[in-house]
Amino acid sequence: MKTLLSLSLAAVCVGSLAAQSNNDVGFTRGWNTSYTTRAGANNIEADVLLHFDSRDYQDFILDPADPTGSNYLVKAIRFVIQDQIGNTPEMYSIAGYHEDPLNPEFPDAAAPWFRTGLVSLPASTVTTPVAWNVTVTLPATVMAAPKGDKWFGIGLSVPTGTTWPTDGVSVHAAYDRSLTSTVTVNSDVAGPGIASAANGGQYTCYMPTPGGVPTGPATYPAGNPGSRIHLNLELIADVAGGVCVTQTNQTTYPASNPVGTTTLPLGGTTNFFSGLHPDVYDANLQPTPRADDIGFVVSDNSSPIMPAFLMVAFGPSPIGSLPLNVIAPSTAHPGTKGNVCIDFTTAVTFFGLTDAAGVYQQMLTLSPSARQIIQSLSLPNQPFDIWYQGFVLNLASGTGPTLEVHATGCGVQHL
Amino acid sequence: MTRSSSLLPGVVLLAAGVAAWLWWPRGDAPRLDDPAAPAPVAAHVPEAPAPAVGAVAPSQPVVERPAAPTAKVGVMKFPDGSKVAALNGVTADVDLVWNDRPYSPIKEKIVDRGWEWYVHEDGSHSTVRMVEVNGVLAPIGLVASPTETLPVLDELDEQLRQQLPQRR
Repeated sequence: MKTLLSLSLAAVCVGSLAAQSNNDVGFTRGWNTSYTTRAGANNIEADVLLHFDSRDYQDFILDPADPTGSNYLVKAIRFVIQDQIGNTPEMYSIAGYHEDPLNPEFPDAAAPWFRTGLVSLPASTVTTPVAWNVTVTLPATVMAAPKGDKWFGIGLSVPTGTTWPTDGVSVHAAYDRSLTSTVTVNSDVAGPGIASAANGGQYTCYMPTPGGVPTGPATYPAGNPGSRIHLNLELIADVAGGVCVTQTNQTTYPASNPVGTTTLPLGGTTNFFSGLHPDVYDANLQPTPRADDIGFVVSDNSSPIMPAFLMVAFGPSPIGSLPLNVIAPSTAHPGTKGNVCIDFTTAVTFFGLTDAAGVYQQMLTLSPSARQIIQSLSLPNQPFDIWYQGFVLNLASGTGPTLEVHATGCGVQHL
Repeated sequence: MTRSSSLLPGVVLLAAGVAAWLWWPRGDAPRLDDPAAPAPVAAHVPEAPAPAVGAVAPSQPVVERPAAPTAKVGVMKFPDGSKVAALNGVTADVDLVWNDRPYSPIKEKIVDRGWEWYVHEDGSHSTVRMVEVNGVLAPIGLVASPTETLPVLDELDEQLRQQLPQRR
């Protein structure tokens, strides 16, 4: 134990020497957007927020400077904001919220993690809609905060002298799709597991902010199929990114097809609909039966062409989530970061290499009998969960007595 | 599927993987320690008054020529390793996280409604500015790149209602 402790302390002492490497966690790697939206806050000032639920992702934006692995820290946020009249630009802000201790699954209006003042869109001369892909680099004054459910989003102002959508700002999002929908807009039919998600599977809500002050409670639009909203919002942090990915045969959501892209080598979607809730046994009885394949994608731009491995299990670590260098002292290199949150005692391990961009995608092709077993184990509102966690070896740091390993967070697919 | 009973086999495999890696013939791996030479640095412009809240009237951005830095300005660092003078009176150094597209060099500097921006060759705009965060002024970095617009769901619903009067 003393050895463990001393190794951990040594890592803490020199941890600050490790180079910082900001990565997209990966939530928007496999995506089609559907609409631009204010999530129902059409003509009020509000923060439109995306829920990052610990049911789905754990330990995914850990602060590498925290030796206990119990705090989150985000460095930047990326999204797409649209202004209905380009030459009358509106203002917006950025916000992050913790979970309301008195109202689980809702953001806490009383003590936001951070909330910025208003910032401007760039100049435009057009009188028609304009859209901007925006990355906001947050200041160091946004401190690490205890991990758990988080909400991130954009504070939207209201236009002067008119109403949205005649003018005003909104944010781009993917929508899920009802089974009877005939719309031609890209939209994603989620698998049955989404029924067990909080708020009816609605991942987006709005927090009223009259005068720039969050008042709460947040409002979730109804979580009906066809009304669920996933904001196109990426988090950037000093972590190895890792997200669940699902390959489907949907023509209405082409990003989910197994067609590789520059950021997702084998294709598929990483959204919160099919990405987290695959349909592996055609639960929705689609005209073209679904038999989704499932997997996980790791991204670590500090580790191109490096060995990586993926653990797949059926639950969390039985001893709780602990820093990697505590559970496995051989990884106690100063640059090691991340927790072990997966059930490593039963996990199956896959090996691979990251590509030149530091990306490693591992898909699991399920046999027909495996799909039948999953179907027999899945109950209404109680899906069969698969846990993933990726690890990347950064050999660029040399091969001393300890290894530099970057652990992703844990992602959970609900089958 | 094969299962392991503890982390130990994984660590053993890991060590084997490392050994294999060291003997694995391969080409030159990309290096991350080769930043491009710093670009010319732009001038500091005194901070302009804060913009009004909400919509504002159309404006004509003022184009300014980048020039040599003064001693008191902060630095904006871009992903290609280039550095320029910070804008909007920011005195801190800010490493801008770029958008999910290749970095594009600076073309010019403009001032729009009191906000100084660098305009890049691909139409992206970048800036830093002191903005209140939890009530305290702090330097925020912004990169905005033009992208395609999307329809508004409410407008499409209305169109559908007009086409199909029986639809409620």
